[in-house]
Amino acid sequence: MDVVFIRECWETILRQEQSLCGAPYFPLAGMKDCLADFDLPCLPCTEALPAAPAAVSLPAPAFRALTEEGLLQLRSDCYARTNLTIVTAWAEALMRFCEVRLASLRKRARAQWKGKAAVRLNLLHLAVFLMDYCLLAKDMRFLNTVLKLSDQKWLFKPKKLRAALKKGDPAALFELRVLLMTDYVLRRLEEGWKLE
Amino acid sequence: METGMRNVVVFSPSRFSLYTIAVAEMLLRQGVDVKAIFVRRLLNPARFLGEFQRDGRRLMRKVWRKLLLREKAYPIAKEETIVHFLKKEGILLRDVEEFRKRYGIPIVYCSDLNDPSVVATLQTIKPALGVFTGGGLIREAVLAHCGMGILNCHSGMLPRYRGMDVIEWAILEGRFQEVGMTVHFMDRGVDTGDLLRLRRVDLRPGEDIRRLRDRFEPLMCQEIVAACLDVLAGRAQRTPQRLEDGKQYFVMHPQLIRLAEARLKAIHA
Repeated sequence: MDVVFIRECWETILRQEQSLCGAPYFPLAGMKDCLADFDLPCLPCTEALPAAPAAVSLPAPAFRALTEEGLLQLRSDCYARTNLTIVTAWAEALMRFCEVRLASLRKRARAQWKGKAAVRLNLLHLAVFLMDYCLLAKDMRFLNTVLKLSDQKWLFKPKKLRAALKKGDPAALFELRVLLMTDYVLRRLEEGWKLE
Repeated sequence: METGMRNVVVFSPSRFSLYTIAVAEMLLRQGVDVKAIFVRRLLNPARFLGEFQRDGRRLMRKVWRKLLLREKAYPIAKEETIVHFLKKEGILLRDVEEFRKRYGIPIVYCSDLNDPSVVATLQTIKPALGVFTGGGLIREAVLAHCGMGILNCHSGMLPRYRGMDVIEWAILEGRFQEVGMTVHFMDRGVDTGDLLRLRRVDLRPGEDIRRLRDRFEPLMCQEIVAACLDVLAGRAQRTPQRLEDGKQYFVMHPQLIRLAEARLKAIHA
């Protein structure tokens, strides 16, 4: 990734209302190590882990059962390293779904969530969860899936990212997070990061 | 052994598959009765779409190598490739159709290896065993009509590495001792059937993933033929897999393939 582009995006965030980086989505939570790698200053919201909302009881893992609350619960459990059996089952199911159904993912997401904005937001949130799980489990299959998602031009729009960040669009924050985290992990792998 | 107990059928991804030709010829030379070869048609929009969705732009490279270049895709190198193997064994056939001309073996063309015509032919032939040399997923109806089952040689060490690009995945994960192949029975899952033979493959200096894959093919031919003979002779030992002992892998993203190549290069550096 272009370092100048990253810095400009981060400066845009620094100038924004910080509350946008927190609830309800916590798009930048738990990014301390990644930001240090890019030599970018942390914000309070990048260090705070999302507090779990009233615990959401998750159904059997399936894309069609995925909700915004469910994704937040999964991320929260990921960071807190709790309920890992459930987190792993969901991560595997969602990863497999994205891999096998990549060509029809947009269509299936439209059937799942109403409106283009909701589709994009939830799929980017899903990518964030898969990346979080990748780091938790040190399982590069999840990075593989996120890289394929980031190749989808209807989902990731880097040319419009800075403008979207200026508007405080949560989807843009998710997008930036995914781009930073994938780059961070790829560089670690190049440096010989040992995997589990 | 009764004659019928050495009847096998072979499943092929295309009429030009050198791997299919090698396997079928070696089976015949061992006295196995190849009763039919099922071949997927190439000019098949549904197949092209399905493979493109799975492989992306890599499909173009695959078509270029396997269908257009064919033998010319293999380097003149010391490492044994399927082309070297065919020459060494004196196998001159280069088109599955030649099995019909030379041996009178029926070649059954289909859009999909699970087509009703395939099932109907199997019901007539009643083979003792099926041998899979590529061509997509095999479903229950075909599995059910192949006697003892269908053998596949997977280019990964099972149960650890199921799915696609498992050579690359083992290298990326730094598990260099787990690069190899497995002959197994096919079942409804992806690479989940009972194990028969495992063979590790050493990584050599100066080799890239392409050359490594080229080395796999003749070894896969040897392993699947040996497994087939073991099964037909009743001496094969089947080992069931536990799903929790492995993971399913998917087509590797180009950025990760580059990393895997770098790791392979660094092994002997």
